Amino acid sequence: MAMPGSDGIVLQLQQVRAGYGSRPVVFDISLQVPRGNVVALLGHNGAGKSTTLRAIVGLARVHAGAILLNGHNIANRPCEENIRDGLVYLPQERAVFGDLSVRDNLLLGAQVVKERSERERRLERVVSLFPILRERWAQPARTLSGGQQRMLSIGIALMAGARVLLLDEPSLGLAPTVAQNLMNTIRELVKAEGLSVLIVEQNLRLALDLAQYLYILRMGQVVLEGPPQELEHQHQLWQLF
Amino acid sequence: MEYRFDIANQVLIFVVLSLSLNLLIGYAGQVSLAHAAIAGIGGYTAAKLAIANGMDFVPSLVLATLMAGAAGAFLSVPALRLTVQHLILLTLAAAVVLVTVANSTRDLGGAYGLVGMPVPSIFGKAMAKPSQFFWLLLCVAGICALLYWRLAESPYGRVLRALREDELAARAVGKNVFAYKVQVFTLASAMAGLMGALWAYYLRLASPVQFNVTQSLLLVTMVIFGGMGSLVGPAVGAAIIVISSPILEKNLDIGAEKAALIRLVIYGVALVLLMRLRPEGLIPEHFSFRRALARFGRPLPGAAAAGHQSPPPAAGAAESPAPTGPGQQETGIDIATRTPVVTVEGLRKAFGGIVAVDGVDLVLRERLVTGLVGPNGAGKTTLFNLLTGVIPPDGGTVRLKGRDITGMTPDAIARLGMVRSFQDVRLFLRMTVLENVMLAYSRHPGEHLPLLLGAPLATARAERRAKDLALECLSFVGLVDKAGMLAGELSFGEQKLVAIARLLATGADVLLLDEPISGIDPQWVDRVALVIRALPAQGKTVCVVEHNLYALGQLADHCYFMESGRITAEGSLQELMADPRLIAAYFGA
Amino acid sequence: MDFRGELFPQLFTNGVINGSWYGVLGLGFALILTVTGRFHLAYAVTYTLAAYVAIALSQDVGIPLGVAFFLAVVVASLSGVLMEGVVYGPLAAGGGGLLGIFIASLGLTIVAENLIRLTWGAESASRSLGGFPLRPFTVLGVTFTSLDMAAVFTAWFLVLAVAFFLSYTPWGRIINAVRVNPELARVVGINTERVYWLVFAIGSALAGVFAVYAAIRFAAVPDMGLQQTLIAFVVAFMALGTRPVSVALTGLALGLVESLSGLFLSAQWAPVVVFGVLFVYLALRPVQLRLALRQVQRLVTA
Repeated sequence: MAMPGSDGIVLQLQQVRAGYGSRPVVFDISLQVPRGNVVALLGHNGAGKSTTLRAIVGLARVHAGAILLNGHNIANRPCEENIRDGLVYLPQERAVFGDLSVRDNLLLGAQVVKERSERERRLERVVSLFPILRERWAQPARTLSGGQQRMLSIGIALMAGARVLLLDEPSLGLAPTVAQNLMNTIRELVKAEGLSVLIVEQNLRLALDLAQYLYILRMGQVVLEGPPQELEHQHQLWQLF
Repeated sequence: MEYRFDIANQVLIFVVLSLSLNLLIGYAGQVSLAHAAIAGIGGYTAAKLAIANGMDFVPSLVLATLMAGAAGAFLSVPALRLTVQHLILLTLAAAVVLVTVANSTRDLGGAYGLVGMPVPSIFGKAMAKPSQFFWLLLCVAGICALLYWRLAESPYGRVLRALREDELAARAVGKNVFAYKVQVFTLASAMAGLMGALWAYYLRLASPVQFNVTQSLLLVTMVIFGGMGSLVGPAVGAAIIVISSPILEKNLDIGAEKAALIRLVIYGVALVLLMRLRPEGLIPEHFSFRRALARFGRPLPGAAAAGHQSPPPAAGAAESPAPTGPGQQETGIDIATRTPVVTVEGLRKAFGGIVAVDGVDLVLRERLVTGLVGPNGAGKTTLFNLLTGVIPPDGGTVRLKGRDITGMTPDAIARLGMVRSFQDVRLFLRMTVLENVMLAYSRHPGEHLPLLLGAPLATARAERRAKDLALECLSFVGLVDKAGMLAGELSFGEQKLVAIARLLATGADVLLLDEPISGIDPQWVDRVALVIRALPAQGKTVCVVEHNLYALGQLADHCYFMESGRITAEGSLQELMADPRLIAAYFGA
Repeated sequence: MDFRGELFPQLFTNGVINGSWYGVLGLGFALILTVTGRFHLAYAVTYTLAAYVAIALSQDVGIPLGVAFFLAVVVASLSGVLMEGVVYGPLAAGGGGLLGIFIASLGLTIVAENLIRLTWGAESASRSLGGFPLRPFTVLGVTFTSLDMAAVFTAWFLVLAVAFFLSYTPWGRIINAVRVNPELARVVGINTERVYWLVFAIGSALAGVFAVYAAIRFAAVPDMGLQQTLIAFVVAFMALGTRPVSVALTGLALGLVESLSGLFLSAQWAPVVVFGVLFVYLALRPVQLRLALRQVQRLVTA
């Protein structure tokens, strides 16, 4: 696995124009994620937050600009290759294999891992982090509660050996306490594993609590960026949405 | 010489069969693999009546046509709600059933079919030889082709194509999609039945092999190879495929049977290659001799500029003043003095255990832009779908100008004066911008079969009016110069403007706009906002769902805040967003 | 009534025999349809090709039946992979939608059917595959052959083998992953195109097995594949869920319905019954019928 860029920026977007087919949805996105940090993308629905994440991982088409992962441009690379560099994207709504058991879900996360011992080690680690998964081992993933499914999806990412995690609205549809719990888990994981996270969130408060830096998107462009302390005091923040 | 007439006769028969199938597949988008079987219904009816009942030629043709038409109508009913794959499956199943019935029924001659049909004669002249048959066939084929042309190149054909492109959007501009489907199936089947009967008379027999599934597949090949959706393409395809068999026979010096098989292999390969290289077939949909000739003269507006994405023109909307800040053209509108146009009371909808809309009351007042905001999952889109009849509510009422429209179909509501736009636009992409807007012209006689055929003058007049109206609406949104372009060639922002023009052309008073600003290039946003702001001055009542609060602030006179399926606040957007609790709810506390 | 009483066990047995291999055909088709989404009408090509290859190898080249059978299944499997790799895959990548793929499939079907007619049609309309030690059995008044027994055992063995493969092996898990959430599958590094090939290989092999059986039991005709593909589609479409055993049971049910209709109609009408069932199913609101059937299933399995 390549080392992060010399300046510690593990993921960088440079004037990215991206969308689906020939139709662009984001027009000029520049952002960066330093190693070991959580960076948040905010904005209204349709502002292009999901599209940005999907463009990074290869599920949307990049029309212009560069996406640098550890210094290498990965724009428009086939999605399947990203896991080798530890880049994992967890989609907005369907972030688990619903019909398959919890066990199968986790094993699928690690199916690029050749050595069985390594797989076992990762499995142990994930199960110790999320004991609830052991309880539901043989059940189909879709029978888990919303919060448990999000945990499972993070578990899958860890099984896959994620170094850079792209999270698409993980708190969507979750009760406030469950969402808060999830954010705490993410925060601890980032510290413990040294992960870098780019998170899309609608929930402003959760994002301000979790992230070290935030970008606000509107109509496919970045309209404001800064650390949470600066943004918190913007009374008219809603006008940016 | 007879040999040439024989080939000509076959060409005529297959041309009409493929043109009628084109009405189904190419124009209405209904892929049917039962067309040969339906022709078979005509063939067998004629044969049975002629042999067993001694019926005369012409009456038996008439009955054959009616039987086949009835079969088509019958088949269309289950087809109404099916997706393309399921329709293919359904028609395939129908074809197999029909062929098996013919094969297995002794009264229908079993595997050999009904043989020994009498020589047909018309006006006392017997038609035993191909050359004699030719002239009748030519007349009948000519009439069928004329009918086909009249249907296809008409407002009626335009509706069919819209149906093919996007059924939901067609309903949203007031077209009764089910009625059209039944009509197209019936007409195409009747034509097929007539040709099936003539073919039976020509061969003097009706057998299962003539009308089996392989033949249906051959017909589909002709349509697709020639160019489905184009006017003459399928006819060209049919002619080429029919003629190639004797050509192969002559040039490769092989038997007729082998030639027929080889040509099928060739066309099978051609189909596969075609899909890879040229999915539109030999002749693309929008090719017409008229247009090709016209290029030497004056081109249609926008046709020459195809593909050129121009920046938005300067404000051209008719009488709209520039937006004057937060949403109100005149300061101090007293909302309450405006008459309610749409009244919603206690509207409820649940999906399984989840309550999406939980007792919503709201009012849309005349000549105002009302906004609907709220966090994700609040139920706004569901509410729109309930208002416009896309889904039926569990309870509550919706009134439009005092009339209860709860539970009506989308097209009925559209005809009553409330229309909606879609977040993903849903223009008819393979039709021109002008056609897209013209489709919205309501109560066009040319869109109804009896009037189309029986009142050509009225149809032509209405068509001129529809065109004028469409150009007017397009100029309101500033896109007249793009009228001749295909809708699919426009940028997303331009498409959203055309969608608004399309709504205007319906003449409806109430416009529900679902995220009109989202997903478009920033340079188009102001243009779209300007157009929406100008709508009340045209007498329209507008409701906008928008997540882009910045844009909504400029658009809306009055807003409702929706969360968890309920309306919890109303007022101007400024007022709502000054309330810390609403802000917290919006940003998901 | 006595006549019918005697007839019932025989028809029931016939239904079980036919239904077993309908189930396998349905399973092969369902696997391809649910994982790749391709409307694979050319499943008929695989089927017909396998039958003719078996006959040609066995009768023209003189290879022993068992080897010919094996080779025919391999050819069938390869044909499926080739169709995905050479036709469907590039078409989908180039932007061809559902309809485009169906039409390409249609083209393939036309080509194959008529090439077969050209190559083998001249000599005789249908050819049969001999060489199987056919022995009749009569048990409790019901007659069947050793071939039928072999067919039923093979069918259920294959169904259980596929079920085991899908549920308990790594590759089975990968196939399920692509079926359930293709996007997430790509994210965790699964090459979906390779999985498509595997699925086409398995599904086509299943068709090949019973094409050879049909060649022995009945005969090979150039359009044999089309009718069987329709049956496969009916089974795949009407099966509740995608579990191999469910699909196989649906096939069994269909076989029984078809066969038992012989109590009231003569045998030639059997296809009408099968497709009549489909027609009625499609014509009634499929969503509600599905829901109703699911309720029944829940009651039965609760």
